[in-house]
Amino acid sequence: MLLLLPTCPLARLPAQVALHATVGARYTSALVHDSIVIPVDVQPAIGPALALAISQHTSSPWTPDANLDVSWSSLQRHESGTTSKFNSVTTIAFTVGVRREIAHGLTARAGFGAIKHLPSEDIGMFRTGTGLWALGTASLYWTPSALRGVSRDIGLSLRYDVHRFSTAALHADGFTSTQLVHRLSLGIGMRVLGKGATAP
Amino acid sequence: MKRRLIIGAVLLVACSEPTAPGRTAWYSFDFAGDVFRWPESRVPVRYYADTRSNMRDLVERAIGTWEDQVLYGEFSGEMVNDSTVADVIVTWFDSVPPNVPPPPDNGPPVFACDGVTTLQLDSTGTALAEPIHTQIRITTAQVYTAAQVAACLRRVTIHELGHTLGLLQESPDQQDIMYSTVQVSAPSARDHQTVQVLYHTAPTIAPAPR
Ligand SMILES: [Zn+2]
Repeated sequence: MLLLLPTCPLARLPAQVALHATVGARYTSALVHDSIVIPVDVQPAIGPALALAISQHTSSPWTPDANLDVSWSSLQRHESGTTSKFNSVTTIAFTVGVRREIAHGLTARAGFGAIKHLPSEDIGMFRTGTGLWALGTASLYWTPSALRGVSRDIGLSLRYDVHRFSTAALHADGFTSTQLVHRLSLGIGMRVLGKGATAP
Repeated sequence: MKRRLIIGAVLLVACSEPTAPGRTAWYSFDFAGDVFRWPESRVPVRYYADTRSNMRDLVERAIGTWEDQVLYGEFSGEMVNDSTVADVIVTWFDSVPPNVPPPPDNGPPVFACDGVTTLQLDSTGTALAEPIHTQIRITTAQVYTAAQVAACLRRVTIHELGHTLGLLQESPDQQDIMYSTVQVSAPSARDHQTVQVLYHTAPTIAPAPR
């Protein structure tokens, strides 16, 4: 989908449809809290995040949209004050939602969808694969007044999402419940195709 | 309404922290109180395998078996082609089995082979003096089928590589791969938990310098 972007002619998009891209960085809370002799946490490091949102502008103040979000990070094991990298993971999240302007230049969005974790190596906690997890998200998009209405609605995006996480290997090891994972990303966005208001 | 919201938030927090599974079924892995395991800085551990017959396949398979016992990358191994850069050297003791695919062995385990792993301490007693050496031997006291030998080699290579990870004791339970005369073909839940406990226990013996 990302690779198709440069080849999509502008004229193909209906006037009410806009495509928005956001690039930024993401913090993710621990995927696993374990205790093997000592506490052991597994947490993705802060990594880059890229999102594409397509929205349909309507006469209503609520604008429906769909968002594809991809992020990359190394996986870190924290124990006894030391941090070790042992794998890396790509996450792909797809959400549908609605957004509306809540103040001048400030747009809020809420959505839900699903997230998939793709490890670079199917080892350890990922050795028997990962599932698809439901995800809820809320975000804000702020366009500074100096940029409002010009320059493709360039603005700042703050996105929060939450999902549950486990793997079959963790379950086989005795984890009977799942971990709540919070993610927070900060990025810069712009409208890359079409016309309309900003999309967070 | 406010109280309901607060209760909802408390429940969300409460169910957000799953309890870590207890690892209580494990056997001793120390040697007279000393603990050896590969530190983070030495992972992946470098294994050299005798180039004759299928030793390399046996060692690769055993490394993969032990890698599957840890969840968070605490141990991993890689093959090297030069024994002078290896952390662990695995060789045949004397006779070398033919390198042909054996038929499947569906019979009870027989002891058609055995192995020995040697960790040589330096003069301080706190570090290994040299790479770990493992030797695998084909038993010649009786005549065994190729399938029996192949099955035994797979079991014993996993067992001996367990020692190279730092499992310095034999398990007292014959259902474990680390039982002295290996009867099973894969690590048990107890072997699994023992490796996990070992790799979160502070070592007292360091590996030989590279
Ligand atoms: Zn042994």
